[in-house]
Amino acid sequence: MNKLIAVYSDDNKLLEAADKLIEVNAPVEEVITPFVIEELLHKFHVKSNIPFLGFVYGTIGLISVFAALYYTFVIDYPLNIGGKPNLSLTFPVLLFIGTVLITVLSTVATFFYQDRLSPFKEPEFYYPGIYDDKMVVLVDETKMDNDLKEKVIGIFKETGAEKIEEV
Amino acid sequence: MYKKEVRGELILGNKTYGDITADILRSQEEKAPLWWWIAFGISFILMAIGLGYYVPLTIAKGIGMWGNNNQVVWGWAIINFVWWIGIGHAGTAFSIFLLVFRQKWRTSINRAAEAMTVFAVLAAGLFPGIHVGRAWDEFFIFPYGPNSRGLWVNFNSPLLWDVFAILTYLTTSAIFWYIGMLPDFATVSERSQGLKKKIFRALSLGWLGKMSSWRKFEDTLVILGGLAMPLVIAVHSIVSTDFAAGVLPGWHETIFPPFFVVGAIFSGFSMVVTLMVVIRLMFKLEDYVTDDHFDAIARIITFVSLIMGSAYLIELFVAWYSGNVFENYVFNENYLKGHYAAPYWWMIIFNAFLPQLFWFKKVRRTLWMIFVITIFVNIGMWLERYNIVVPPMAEDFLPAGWFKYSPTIVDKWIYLGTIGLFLVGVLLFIRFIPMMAMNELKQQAKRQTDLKPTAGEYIAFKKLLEDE
Repeated sequence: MNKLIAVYSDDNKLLEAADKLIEVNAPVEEVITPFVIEELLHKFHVKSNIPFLGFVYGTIGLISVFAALYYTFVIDYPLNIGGKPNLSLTFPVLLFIGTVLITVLSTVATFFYQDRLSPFKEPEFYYPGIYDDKMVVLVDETKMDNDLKEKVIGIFKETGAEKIEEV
Repeated sequence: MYKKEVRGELILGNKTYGDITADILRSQEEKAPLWWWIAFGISFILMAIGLGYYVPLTIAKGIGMWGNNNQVVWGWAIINFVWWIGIGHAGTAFSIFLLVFRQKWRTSINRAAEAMTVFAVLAAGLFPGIHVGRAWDEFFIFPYGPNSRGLWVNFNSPLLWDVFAILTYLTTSAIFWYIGMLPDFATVSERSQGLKKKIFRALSLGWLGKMSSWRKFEDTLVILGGLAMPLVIAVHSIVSTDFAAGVLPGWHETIFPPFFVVGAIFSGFSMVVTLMVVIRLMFKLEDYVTDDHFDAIARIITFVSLIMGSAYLIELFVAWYSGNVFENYVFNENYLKGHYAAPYWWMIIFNAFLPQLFWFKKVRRTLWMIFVITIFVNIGMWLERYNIVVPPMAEDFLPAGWFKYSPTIVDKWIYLGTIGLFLVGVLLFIRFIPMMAMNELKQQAKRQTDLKPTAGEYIAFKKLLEDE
């Protein structure tokens, strides 16, 4: 019994509630929705470091692919192809493809790791319809005094939450 | 950018979020219709004969089973390879180009286009595998080390780039497709029972639509999309370099990379349209795949067709303008009026002229016409690859060496086998995987309703008018 949840079916009401919850500084833990609601992410300033990490992986990928090509083709076994230079202008093709492959795999691995996604994982929360058309706001009850709790419940009622429950 | 005035409503019938889930999942929650079983049976038989019998036969007896000869050393295998890869670019062209350019009308079609990509690339990947002749020595292509000869593969060869490019493309497309499906798998799992529930729960990787998860989900997809977009251009440019790096007249052209990329998008888009017409009719999804969708795709096909037409003209002009007798022979003699005139002219008709019918609004909005035209575009694109591969080799520098090419039954069955493989994949996809991205459709539905004025806004607006 340490969470207060409110269930909505109308995303406009949910957004209205979000505004009011932010206004009273309610400790909103999560909002779970069946599809992405961009406005909600903006309101709660949800950010991720995946774009930055993607860039880092790309840089590492580029350097390592270049190193691999340089080692094999210039140092280890320089083939003489009609006297053309070994460090040739054809490198960018494989550099690009190798970089893409490494970046894609590492970015996806990061996404899976950060969200702890795995075939054996059970979702940490469930409410019927949460993957269909229900949107759920989770508020941490332990971080609220009675006064704030009443305000939050008031907001939920006022914005027409379908169900308000303690879990 | 989604402008309702331009694109119309992309989801018709004032659907609620619950309606969208129910409509899209109907195809897999109800029993498979009879046509599905018939189509699956035919495709499976094609696949079984082509890939189960004729591919092993080729591996056992060698490339001599094909129609290739000393003059025409590349035949149907490379034609089919390029054709399938071209179709395989549809998913990326459709889903990712439109994602990166924020074209919201992609939503109901992107999933099917991505599925097509994966199956088409699988079909394509078969051909390099068997046309090397000794399939058991295939690992020589990969730079493994230290190997027994202290030797590395030739990183300057376009054929080697192909290996990397296509494997990377297959990996990226498959991952992009799968990640986009995570939330929808969770939806399927929620609505099903027993073993199916367990399988889809595992496939959804325990997805929960938290705000933080959605942010990461979106960021990951945009990064993958941003990388896959130039990759598509790279992959098909590399495929074209397989030819352009050769000295053969008819192949040795700088126009090839853009020409191939545009051709790939052309055939890919057409195949997407062909399939979507079938899906829309069979599953009664008119509310999701609307006439406006077909209209938008038809406009792109028309534009691309014009580019193809200009490219064909440029080839003819440059061959004449170069003053090179060999070049001039291939283009202005052999293609236009020689032994290979028939496939050339059919190609021109199917690729450059037929899609021009899309200038008429009536054609763009009549399903059967769209279906027929796009089928012919894909036949035309197959003929284009035939024209690139066979005639220049059959009649090159030395007339004494000229030799006619004709495919054998083995060639034909392997091709039919890959068509079977592709169709089996697509049919299984339609039956077992949500064929439209439900979470994106819901987002689109929200976007649409947001654009409608609410009652309050309407009253305020009227009051404003009265005050003035």
